[in-house]
Amino acid sequence: MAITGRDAFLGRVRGALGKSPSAPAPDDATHLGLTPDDVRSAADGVRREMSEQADVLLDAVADSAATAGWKVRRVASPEDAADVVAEICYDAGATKILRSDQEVFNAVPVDAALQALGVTPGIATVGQAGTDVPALKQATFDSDVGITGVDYAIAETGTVVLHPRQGLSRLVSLAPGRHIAILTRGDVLPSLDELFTLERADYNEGAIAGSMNLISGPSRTGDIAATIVDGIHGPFEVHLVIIG
Amino acid sequence: MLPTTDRFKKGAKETLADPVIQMSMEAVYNGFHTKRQSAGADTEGWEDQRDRGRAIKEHTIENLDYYLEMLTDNVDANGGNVFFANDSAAATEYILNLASDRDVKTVIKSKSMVSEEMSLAHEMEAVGIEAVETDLGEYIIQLAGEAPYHIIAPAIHKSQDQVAEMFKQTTGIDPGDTPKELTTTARGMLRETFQRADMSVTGVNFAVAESGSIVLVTNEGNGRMCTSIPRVHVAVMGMEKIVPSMQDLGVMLRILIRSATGQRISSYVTMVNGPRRDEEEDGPEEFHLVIVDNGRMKLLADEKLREALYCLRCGACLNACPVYRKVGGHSYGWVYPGPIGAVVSPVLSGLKQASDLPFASSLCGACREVCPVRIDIPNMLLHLRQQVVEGPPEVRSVGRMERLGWKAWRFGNIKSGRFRRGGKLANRLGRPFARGGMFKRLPPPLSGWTRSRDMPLPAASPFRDRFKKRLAQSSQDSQSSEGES
Amino acid sequence: MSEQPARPTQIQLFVTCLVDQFRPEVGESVVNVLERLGIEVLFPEGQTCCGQPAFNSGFRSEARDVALHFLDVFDATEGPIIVPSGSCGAMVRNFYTEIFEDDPTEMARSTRVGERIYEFTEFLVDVLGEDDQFGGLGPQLEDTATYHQCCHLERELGVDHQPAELLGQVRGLEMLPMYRSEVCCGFGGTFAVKFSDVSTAMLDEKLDNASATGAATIVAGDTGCIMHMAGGLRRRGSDLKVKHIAEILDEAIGTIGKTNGAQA
Repeated sequence: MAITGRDAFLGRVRGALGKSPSAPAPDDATHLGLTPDDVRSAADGVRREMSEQADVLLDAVADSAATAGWKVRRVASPEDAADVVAEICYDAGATKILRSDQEVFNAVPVDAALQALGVTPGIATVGQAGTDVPALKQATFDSDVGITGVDYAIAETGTVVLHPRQGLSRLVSLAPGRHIAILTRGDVLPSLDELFTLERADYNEGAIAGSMNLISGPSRTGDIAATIVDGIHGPFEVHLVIIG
Repeated sequence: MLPTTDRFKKGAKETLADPVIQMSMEAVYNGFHTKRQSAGADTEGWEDQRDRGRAIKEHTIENLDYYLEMLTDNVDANGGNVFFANDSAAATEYILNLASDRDVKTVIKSKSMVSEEMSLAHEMEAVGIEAVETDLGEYIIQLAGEAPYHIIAPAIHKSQDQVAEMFKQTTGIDPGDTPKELTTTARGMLRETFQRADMSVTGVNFAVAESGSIVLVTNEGNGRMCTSIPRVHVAVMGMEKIVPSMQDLGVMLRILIRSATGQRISSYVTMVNGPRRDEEEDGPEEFHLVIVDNGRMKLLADEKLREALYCLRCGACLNACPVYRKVGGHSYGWVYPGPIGAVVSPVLSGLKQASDLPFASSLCGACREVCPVRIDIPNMLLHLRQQVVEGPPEVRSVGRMERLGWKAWRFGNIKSGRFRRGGKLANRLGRPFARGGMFKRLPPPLSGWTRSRDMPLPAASPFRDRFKKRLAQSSQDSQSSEGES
Repeated sequence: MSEQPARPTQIQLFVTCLVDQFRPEVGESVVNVLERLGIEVLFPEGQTCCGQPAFNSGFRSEARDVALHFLDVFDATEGPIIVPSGSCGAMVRNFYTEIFEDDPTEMARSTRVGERIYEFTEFLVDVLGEDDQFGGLGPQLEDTATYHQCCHLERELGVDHQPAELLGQVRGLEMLPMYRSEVCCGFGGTFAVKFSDVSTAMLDEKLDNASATGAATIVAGDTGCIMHMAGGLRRRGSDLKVKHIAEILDEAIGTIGKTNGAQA
């Protein structure tokens, strides 16, 4: 698309730095020195660690997520997870529920569990919510609960990572008053550093998503009288259901 | 924003006399500052993280041209647009033209200090666009028609009663009076606006050169609303807000957020890699990145001021600053208050008009102590002070009397004889006016001191005289004891 | 590990312009304590000021000339230079190289002299402290006191534990912690005069916090801060005293008021 005014601007930057236009590129003092192969192999290392340390990391994220403000529930099986989701929705008196269209729902029978309570969740995709984006948007704003899976969780910070894509709307985890995220064993990263290693590898392969959201608790503000209040623009309550 | 940086002393006086603000400002230390201190103590390898953060910023700024070029190539490759704006006016013009061209009626804004430099919301309203600040603190000051009071908590000076009153006047209904009730009211007011928005303008916490990504850090979720709903997303960034690689984000997010609020991480961190992909369910169709200079080249060009560009806009220096806590954000007269403001505001908006700002500090160093990237603010203040005194005519602004005063001081201090005689003279001349060896009142410029403090008379017998006597005494003693032995 | 340097037997005292002119008793206490510890104190008579007031006010050219005089005086001497002030010590150790950055000769002198300078408590603990010399004198003083942390002492010179260590060795001295002890008192040199409203507000907070401890004495390490706090307390009509740490230590080892500490 368009880049406007770059040459003159960069010329002034170089002037301010006292650099000539033909100054060489800097030594890659930071991570840009890594070749795509290095990054791929680092990413492989991260995935190995996620798998080998799965139990430790799952315990760690249960802890850090609770600290961050998630309401955390641990269950043994996908069926139990579906039951917990239904329980949360029932306790909340939710009548309008949306879920994303992610792989996790093939294993976790959320639809059935909710239907048993008399509520059928909508699927937050354009094809399902209506014929267009505005209808999807309206649906997310009108809903009481949004349910998603989790692409990664991060133990350091108690974070859920989502990459909006086909089947996973940006708004389904943001607009409803409550968000429930279902985490499966083996998807936990130790820290932010490992997340960005994986993202780099994806980027190098041209596989990066249009955006990424790190969610670490309910929406909050401290802007009135320096008092923390949950639920200003995003969900006031977030639940993490951990299988394993 | 038009600078009123020459009003510092007046603003400070008014703020000192305002008990509501003085009470509210305590939150800056008791809340933010103590939490930042705890976060630092609780984070393993914290000092190392700060060192690494500084190294990343130093490397980036020293090679800013290289990384800006890389960033823009990658934004372009992602399907985004980049506009380089030399100043506020150029940035504003680009955005207003875009809005007009895309038939934009409603704009939602999330926090952007650069957009405050531009007075963007105001400029939009002037051409009939509904421009709504969605960060709750920014929303409150937008209703109040005021400038931000703090970099991350713009309405920190407002009491909950003042906020309730403003909401009542806006909505016409009872908004409640506790923070929780008022927040719920605001949620309702803004939710409706989010759904209508055609375009969003956000800031940028970090732009990543290697991938053309931008990163937004928020707790409220308004940033996410802005990057999910409208057709057009415009991100405005100061040219320095860039890091080379995504891998750098781990360190940078860690030190930014813990320094700002003491949290391990904010509720939301959002990375945007251009406009939405076709197969996505939602998201903006257009992505525009506006890269702004607006005086930053001046910081870049001065080696002594360059590190001001490392600033992450976390607000930790404000929270640690005992001066800021007393004088408040508006005294600084432009977009950026507090210690970093005392450097950046004068350089970006004019040092001559802002000549008080570099001096409005006791140089205590608390700011440098908490800065995530160890910016040496006191050193930069000293550098600016030198400019005000010895710089070129366009920035020089010190009075004749003061110049003469320091010349006299120099004269009296380059020879010890004069120094000693000067003290004796002051003692002799002052003695009739000093009761019990103390002055209650002194003429200007020292009247500032005696307004609230007694000032002692210089000693009749200064240390150097006493020491001489002491030496004489002790050699006499050793002579006489020798004589006795 | 390399050989430890020999324990100094003689030091050069840089007493500072404020102590010389306004609180000479602080200088006397420094001498008393050092002499009692077996150190001969020399006082280069040519000394005036380190130049900080002008430097902090942006008058770098005037500061430079006064700094040159300082270097002339002290570079002609040998051995450790002791200064009872964090801000003056920081000026010489940290900022002289700023002033002379364009002048290699003076840079060398600044570095040479800067390496010799120690703040008083820093010297007592880091250089003399090996054999617990001060503690060994049996310091004793019945008092309640609270410590104000002077900004440049800690943040420019890194002297963060030495004062507490010394005060902790004084039997009978009850040290009461001050709320926000690390927050600036509001002196800041000419800041106290140029921005007197703000300076006073900061002073009021500091004095309120000090009074709230219930202590009888505020202890600090910089004379500018001491004059500012004492001046404010006097204006309030308060009984609270402010003393330099050297005075406390001097009183504790029983040499205060003596003209020759070695003979105590």
